[in-house]
Amino acid sequence: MASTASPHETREPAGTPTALRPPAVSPLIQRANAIGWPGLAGSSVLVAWELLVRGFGVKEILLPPPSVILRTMVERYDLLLQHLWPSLYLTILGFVLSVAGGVLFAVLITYSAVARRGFYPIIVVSQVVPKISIAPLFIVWFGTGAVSSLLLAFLIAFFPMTINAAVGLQTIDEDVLKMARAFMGSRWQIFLKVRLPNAMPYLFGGMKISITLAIIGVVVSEFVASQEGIGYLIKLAGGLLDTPLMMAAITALSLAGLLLYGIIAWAERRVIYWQSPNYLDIGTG
Amino acid sequence: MLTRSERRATERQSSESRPAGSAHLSLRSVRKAYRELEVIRDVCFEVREGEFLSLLGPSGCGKSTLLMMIAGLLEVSGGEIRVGGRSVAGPRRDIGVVFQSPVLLPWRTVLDNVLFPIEMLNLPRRQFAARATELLVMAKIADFAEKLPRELSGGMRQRAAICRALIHDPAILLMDEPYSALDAITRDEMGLELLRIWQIHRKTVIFVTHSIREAAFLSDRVLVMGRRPATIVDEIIVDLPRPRQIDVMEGEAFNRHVRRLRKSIEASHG
Amino acid sequence: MALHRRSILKAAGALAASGVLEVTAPAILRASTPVKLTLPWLPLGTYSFPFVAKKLGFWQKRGLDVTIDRGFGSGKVCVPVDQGQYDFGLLDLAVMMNCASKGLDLVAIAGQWPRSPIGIFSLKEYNITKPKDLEGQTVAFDVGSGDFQLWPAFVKATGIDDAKISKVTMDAAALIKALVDKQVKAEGNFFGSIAPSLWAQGMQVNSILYEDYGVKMFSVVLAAKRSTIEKKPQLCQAFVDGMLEGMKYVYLNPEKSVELHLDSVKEFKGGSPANKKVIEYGQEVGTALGLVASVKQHGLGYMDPDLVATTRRTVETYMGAKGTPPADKLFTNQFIGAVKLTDAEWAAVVKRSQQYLPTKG
Repeated sequence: MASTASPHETREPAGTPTALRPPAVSPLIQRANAIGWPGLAGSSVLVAWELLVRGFGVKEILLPPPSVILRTMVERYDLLLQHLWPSLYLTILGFVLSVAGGVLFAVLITYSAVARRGFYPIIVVSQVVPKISIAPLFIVWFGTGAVSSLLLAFLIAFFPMTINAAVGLQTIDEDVLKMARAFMGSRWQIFLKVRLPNAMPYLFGGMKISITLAIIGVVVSEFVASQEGIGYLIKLAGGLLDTPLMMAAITALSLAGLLLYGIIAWAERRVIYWQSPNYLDIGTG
Repeated sequence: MLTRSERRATERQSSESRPAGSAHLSLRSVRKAYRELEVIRDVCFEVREGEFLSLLGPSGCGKSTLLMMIAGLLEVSGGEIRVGGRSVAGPRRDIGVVFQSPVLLPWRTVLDNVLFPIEMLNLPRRQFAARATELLVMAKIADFAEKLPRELSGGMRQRAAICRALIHDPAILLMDEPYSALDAITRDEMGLELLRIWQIHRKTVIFVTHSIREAAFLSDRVLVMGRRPATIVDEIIVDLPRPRQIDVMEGEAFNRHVRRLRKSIEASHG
Repeated sequence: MALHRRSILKAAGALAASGVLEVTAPAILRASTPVKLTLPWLPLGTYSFPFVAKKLGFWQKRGLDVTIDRGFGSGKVCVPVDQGQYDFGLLDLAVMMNCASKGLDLVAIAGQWPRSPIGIFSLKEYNITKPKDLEGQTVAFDVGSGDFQLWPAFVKATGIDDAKISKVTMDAAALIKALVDKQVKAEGNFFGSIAPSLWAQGMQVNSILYEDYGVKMFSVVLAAKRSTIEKKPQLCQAFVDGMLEGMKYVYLNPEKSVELHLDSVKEFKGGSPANKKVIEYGQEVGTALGLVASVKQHGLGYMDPDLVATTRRTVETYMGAKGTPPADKLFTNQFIGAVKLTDAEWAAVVKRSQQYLPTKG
């Protein structure tokens, strides 16, 4: 039995006549566009910076040119890595804890009305309190070591993750739930196989926010008081009036942050493979 | 009083045998009310095994509500619904449902979507994979088995949804206006497809629609539902021979049925 | 009929110019030059003198309207002064020299403490009295402070093993509290900042002063940009004169000065008696550190060229500050000499303030 698709059942999403579709762009050009334009813009900024600083004779202690920063990064890479590593380690740990905690908490307030009514106001209030102002308090309670940094990172990153996860678990088409129940899905099955995958875009959104906040938490805690870490190094360099080192440390921190964010974005593309541009489309005709 | 999980457990283990001679599906004095608002009152009818029955009425008259009660997704406020001799108390294995929108899970391939009920029933996937493929072949979308729903047109997704509703071999297929979201031409074709599939896998079908022509073309029998509080106001036997082609709709016999149905609807809904 | 506004102003101007109204004329009749001064740290007792100078009008009568801001460590005074945010800054001379080696063109124009109060401090009970005692300990620093900047010099001079000393950075605001709460056993600080606070709490402090171990240097000075000195010498002279007058008043009238200081800083107004004690102790420490023979001889604010040269050597040798300009380019006594104490006054002040000098435990 040969399958003859009727003229209406084309491979394109319904409603897109072939003639009006945009011309296909080759992957190579897409790649070039994605990297080329930002690269060009970034390089222009760096070149301008270099020329202006040298041209106006700006003192290194105020603003070193990119070439000096780069040289410092190369010359003192061991010092940079030595202090970058503990900060990264604490960032990742704090991030993982906040994601795990956030998702668990979100599940709790999704499935328990009592929990939701009890905790939701607390969550809202906590969002308003600037957690950075708590950093000195943590130093008093937990000392100047890694615990304070970890806790601050966790605390800052936890609540946004919870909220995103909760919204993700609850933002679901009623019809999908009806369908799953009609086919005898248990509550657990519906959670695992319907709510959770459906929540993925929100979870990843939350994770992108969390990783950024975790970095901030760690660095701020190190600024207030610390014995090691990239925040410690930045402060140290500032105190020594070694601006090139300070900017090298800041650059290293930024690159590390970009890397972590990029890893999550990459994971997101792998995990959330099913979204089309109009991604709320769950199979409506 | 069984808990929800206990009910589900017994459901999964139940065989599909029924006492011989009893109606396959029966509704007795079924009533539905939300607080004081009565939407359905005293619906009674029976369906034979392998019968294609339509529930016809304009939008909002409660036919979907009635279907959801048969599916076990809504509770009856009064009366009883029996399928295969057993009272309906929740979703059941011997019932399959096709909704108005296909509601496929966007992160699953078409094949995985079709196998979804199997997973919910904790049955081994391997056992049913072949059957899933068969159904897709029959629905003429086998080429799309590994595609994601977003790559299919609306009509194709609905066909996948029908396959899904059949994978666990339910005795009864409930269809809630499955083609209302499609254009008229596709709709006619889908109707033909449905009949073709139905000829192969002879299920009892309860088909809810607001289209008189569709009801008459597809069914053995059409029940007309009245205005709220709804009840069955008319019953028409469509005795046209099968298999039916599109040109049946030009015939006098067909149009006689259509006129009769229209009169019933106008009479009850004004 | 009525006198024209202009003629009134003219008359007032003439009176003012004649000097008759020198002390009593309201400020609006004088063209007051706004001047900004930054302290190296909080407005502690050690820095009473600028507040006294301002309160008693020593600057006002010279046509200067001075604003005094708190600072965030000597290290963070250099750049704002260099950038013009402040006209003058009080800061540690060694730190200033370090900044000069990095291209900031600052010059010291008046000295405050020829004796350096920088060191590592700890509570008496820990018995940390020698540099070697620091090995194996954790020492807290605020990285912007002079004690941190000069730590390498101290390490080199004493030969202790830097690797064995764990350093914690902390916001300076938390430093003293950390010591009191026993969160850290030792920390770098300025004697004038830390001792008064601990004494007010009834605690004893052990001091390891850098200068006792060969890191000899001139401590806090008043600095300005070279271009300010060259282009506005009268401004500098007026400012220095006013400031030194204030310093003299503090030396001779400690109780009154404390009152004036408390009254000037709104954070201190209505403070506890302990607060007052902290200011009082700090002020006397500042006084004690300023009394050396060369100052007695040449006048308040005098900077001994030998000591300046030694400071420069320290900075260059121990801090690896290459390119430090020669000593004579980094200071000038040209504005010094007008303010002096009599022999009797000097003896009385010395006697009174002896007890506030740092002890080694």
